Amino acid sequence: MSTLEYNSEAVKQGIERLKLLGKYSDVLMQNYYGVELDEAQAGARLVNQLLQANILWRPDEASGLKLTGPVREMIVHLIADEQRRKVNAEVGEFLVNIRLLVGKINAAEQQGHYQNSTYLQSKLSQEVDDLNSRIATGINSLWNRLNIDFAFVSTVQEKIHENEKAHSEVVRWLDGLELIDFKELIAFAGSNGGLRHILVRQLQGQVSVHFSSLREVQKRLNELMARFRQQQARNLLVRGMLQFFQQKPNFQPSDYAQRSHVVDLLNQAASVQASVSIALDRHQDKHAMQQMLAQLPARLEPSVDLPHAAPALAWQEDQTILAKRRALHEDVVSFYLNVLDQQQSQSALGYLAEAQLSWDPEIWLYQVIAEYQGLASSDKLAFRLHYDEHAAGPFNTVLIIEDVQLQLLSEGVGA
Amino acid sequence: MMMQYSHLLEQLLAGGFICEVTDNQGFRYLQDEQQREAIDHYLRPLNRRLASNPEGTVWFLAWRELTQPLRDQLSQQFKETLDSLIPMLKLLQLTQETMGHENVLTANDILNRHDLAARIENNPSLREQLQALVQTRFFQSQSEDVSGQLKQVFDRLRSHGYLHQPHKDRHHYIVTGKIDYLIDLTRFIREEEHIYIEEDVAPSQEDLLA
Repeated sequence: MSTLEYNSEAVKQGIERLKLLGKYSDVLMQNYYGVELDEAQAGARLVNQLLQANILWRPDEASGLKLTGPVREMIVHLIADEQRRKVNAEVGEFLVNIRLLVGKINAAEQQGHYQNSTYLQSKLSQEVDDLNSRIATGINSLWNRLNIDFAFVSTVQEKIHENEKAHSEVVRWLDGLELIDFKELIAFAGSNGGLRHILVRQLQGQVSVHFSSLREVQKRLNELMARFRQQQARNLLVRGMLQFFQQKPNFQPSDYAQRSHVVDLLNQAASVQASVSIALDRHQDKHAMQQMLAQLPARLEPSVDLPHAAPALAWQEDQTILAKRRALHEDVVSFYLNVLDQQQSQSALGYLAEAQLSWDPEIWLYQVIAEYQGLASSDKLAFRLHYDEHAAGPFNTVLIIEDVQLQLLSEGVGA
Repeated sequence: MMMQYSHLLEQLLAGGFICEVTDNQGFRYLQDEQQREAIDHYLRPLNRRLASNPEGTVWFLAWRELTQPLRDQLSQQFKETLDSLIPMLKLLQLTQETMGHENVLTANDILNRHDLAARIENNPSLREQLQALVQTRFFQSQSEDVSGQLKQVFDRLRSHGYLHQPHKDRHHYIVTGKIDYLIDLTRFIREEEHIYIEEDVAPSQEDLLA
């Protein structure tokens, strides 16, 4: 507290106004319970002081002075006025005033004081307008807070708190509106057309509009609250789980997929690619197909729908593998041609060394054998492949091919 | 009727997650129970059915009946998801911190890669976090600079369906509903394993005044 500047304007003003509250506590408490302040008796100076200090206010020119909202709230809290807190101070007070005014109007009319009655009716009308505008302002302020998602506070926790506050405000208004008993008001109005118009037609219409607005606000508040709570839970979950994983780096959850019941979250079916081809046998589609073919770009782009970029890479590898395979095939064909040219049998490995080819000997042998087996049967007759093989070990009869000899049958080699 | 939604079916069959961001039309279509039944009926011979996260914000295909090989496949898949879980949660934290957002990223949030890169660039602590992130197996990037690392991160997120890029040549991305799926999965693990998370509720105004 040592940092408080005792001489600052705000502090001075605060002390002054608190003193005012103390000095006139009598009058103010009476006003709280609905007794109007006698301005003539109190004096213009005091009235001005109380107005300036924001303790009293005048809802409109014709009406008397009333306690301002904050002061009324403070008193409610100080004396724990459960009744008022529950039933809403503003509507409660309004009803007290209405009853008072209706009584006065009826009395005035009975006595034939019609001028006075007209004056009192305009006062009643103002009272109704006053309540209306306060409810409308209240609802408006609620909407304002709702529309910006309570952005005036920064954390979700504070937003939840603000939402709760706004919600209790709505409930208070709703409870207050419930207090307005239209049967009672109809009875008040009796046969008086003017009163009937103000209290029944006007007020009832407005109250029902307020009711539906408040219900809408309530609905939106609930939705927003659900969202806030969800966000809060998410934030907490992400933070908490990261903390947990940090503390237990070797954590392994159980294998949920092996349980008798597998939740949908974990049951994700493997992907299937729905592929189609052109149905060449459908002649009625021929024309359409021709057109489509003509419109096809030179090369199909890898489908953008597929989530993985991997196929492009695989395709590239395929290309290089294909090229290698083709080179190998060509080298083996050269070997065959060489045997034909030379008109004599030759060892495959011997040729590999001689031609200084870089193929792995084993792959080379496989390819030579495969090429032989791939020959057309008429061509096969021209060659014979002799395997140089031996058993893998003394107790293993698997034969291992060391080398192959490509022999020309026309040469007449038998063994 | 089904013809119109062949694209949706293809997406689902290809293992896609359908949410209002990735395929708004398809997602709306899935809101109708009758249409869902029609799709389920179609998928029956493929031993598949429609499934969603608990809130129904994202749809995908599940096995209709589980056999042991399918269970094993699911176990394997779960392991892979787990490997990505910590990097993903860290990423959520990183973006939240970088953007100064009050909340963890959620579906429909918009991320601008350049904006994010610029903010990370100017903050050594965020740079460090990103560096750690790209060293994980899920995001791995060899890039030295922030924008290259972030590009790799975004590419991974997009290819895993967490981000949707409406325009190929622009740098803004929309978070998809698959993030909800990941959060729901995280919540599921938390509940199943009874992991306790401390709730450090921010002090309210009253507490501060008291």
